[in-house]
Amino acid sequence: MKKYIILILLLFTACIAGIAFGSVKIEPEIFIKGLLLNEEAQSQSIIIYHLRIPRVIAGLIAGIGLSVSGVLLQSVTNNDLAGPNIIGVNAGAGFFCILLLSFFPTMIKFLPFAAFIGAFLTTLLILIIVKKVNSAKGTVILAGIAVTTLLNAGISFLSLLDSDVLTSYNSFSIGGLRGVEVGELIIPSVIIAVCLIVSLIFSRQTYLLCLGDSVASSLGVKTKTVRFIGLICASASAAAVVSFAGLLGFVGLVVPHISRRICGNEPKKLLITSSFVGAVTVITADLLGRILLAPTEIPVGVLMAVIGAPFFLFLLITRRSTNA
Amino acid sequence: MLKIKDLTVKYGKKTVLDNVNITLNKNRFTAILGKNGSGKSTVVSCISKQTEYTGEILLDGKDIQLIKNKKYSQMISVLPQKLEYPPITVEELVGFGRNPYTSFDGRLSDEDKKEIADALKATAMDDLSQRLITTLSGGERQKAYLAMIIAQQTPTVLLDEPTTHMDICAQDEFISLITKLKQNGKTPIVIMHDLALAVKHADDIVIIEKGNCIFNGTKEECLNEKAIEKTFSVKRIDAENEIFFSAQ
Repeated sequence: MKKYIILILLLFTACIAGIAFGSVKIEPEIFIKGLLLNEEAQSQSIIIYHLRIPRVIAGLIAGIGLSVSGVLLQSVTNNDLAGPNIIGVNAGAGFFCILLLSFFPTMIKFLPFAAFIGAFLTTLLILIIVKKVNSAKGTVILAGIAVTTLLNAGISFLSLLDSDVLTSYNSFSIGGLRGVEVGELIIPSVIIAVCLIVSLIFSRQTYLLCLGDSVASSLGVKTKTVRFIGLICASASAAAVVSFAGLLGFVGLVVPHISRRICGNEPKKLLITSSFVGAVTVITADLLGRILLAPTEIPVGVLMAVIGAPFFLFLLITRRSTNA
Repeated sequence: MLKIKDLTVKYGKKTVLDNVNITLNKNRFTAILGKNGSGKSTVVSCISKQTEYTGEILLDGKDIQLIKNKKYSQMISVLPQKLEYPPITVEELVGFGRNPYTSFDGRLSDEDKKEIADALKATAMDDLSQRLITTLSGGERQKAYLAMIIAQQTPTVLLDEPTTHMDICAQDEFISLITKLKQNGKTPIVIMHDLALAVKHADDIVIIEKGNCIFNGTKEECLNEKAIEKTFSVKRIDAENEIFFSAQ
């Protein structure tokens, strides 16, 4: 319980910091006035309510969505190196975006929708492949890698054809929360909330998958159904994030590992803890991105990659030394 | 009683099990023997509903495909040859054995907690209950899984080569735990690779060769018919009231 109180306090602090700080400095007194919509701080109110609060909410939702996705993928594939980008969610979203930019360049406002459709169709394709072969944990990863490679080849090919497409795609592929509006967060929030609730309901059954399909099945778990539900929730919540934040990498991979050190492996605790840690991580990374080189902004995707990639390597090294 | 009728499994064009018929009786320790690749583990995989097959597997007269998962997990527990060792405590693992009886969220009742404590005690794993599975020796890990099976409280217990990587002492200790299961009214069915150990402890023997069941009967019948000697090309050595086998 003490851990959760600390996490709640951390999240609260990150939210307040995310609203209070940014490229424009606001004195504490003016910040309070702006927050209370005082007429003396009208421009600060606009910054707070139209720019910073939507970004903090977006960071909160993105952190929860990607972390839930990461925990589920790592649980159902029984592989702690799994993440939304491994099963092809990001590549699928990216491919559909570049497809839209190439053939319908005027319809750029539908980019998030294309990302969403791409992520979903890729996951469905992987699920069909897995169902055709078998639902073993390794198959999901292998199918994901194969499909990701194919989609990335498609992305590279389409980028080569048109340099304008490449420029538009780049900002989306890096991932960021700039210019996000509260209205566009409603549907992703609902999707992520539903996925989180379903995941919590199935958390016990998901936990038993760590014993392998034979043992889990012998203990009464419908392994194929539980894995299928887990994959659907994982892809839906990651796709929901892609639709407004672009291809934010490493959150889904790194956050479950940090959370595991806090609360252990039990999926219910892990889902809740990861939601907090994910939200704090993305909000903080976005805040750092805004203030480190202000007024220039570093996209949250770049910062997450800078933190995430070395952590990923650290994991690989420690895994190797443990196995040795 | 577990009855296997005309069990056939094909992987593509390859026939792994070909019309296998086996009858396993209640409260008997049955050892299933066979060379590597004979199809023993496929039989286990079919019984645990992990492999598609044609034919029928009847448990207490009911087709296992018609028994719901939860009910089935209260009737038979299965320990496959290849086990996972996740970073969970022994107590957690044994607690998983109560899954067939708990609600969907896995909350343990007082009765569940008692069964877990009893299973830990029966396998002498109570002192290690808070240790992570990953930190245990091979024999201790197998015992932890056996404790899970004991906590599952099923009348039939199916184990696939549970003593493969154990030293002789650990093997003996493990087999005597399985024998105790029989004394407690259970039906242990164990795939074994150690012929002498099988003959020493089992009541009934099943021999599978090249996807066919070539022997299904009591240990005495098996020894009289020299079924082991013929199948494994070994010779029998009787020494100090024990039977051993050595390569011819």
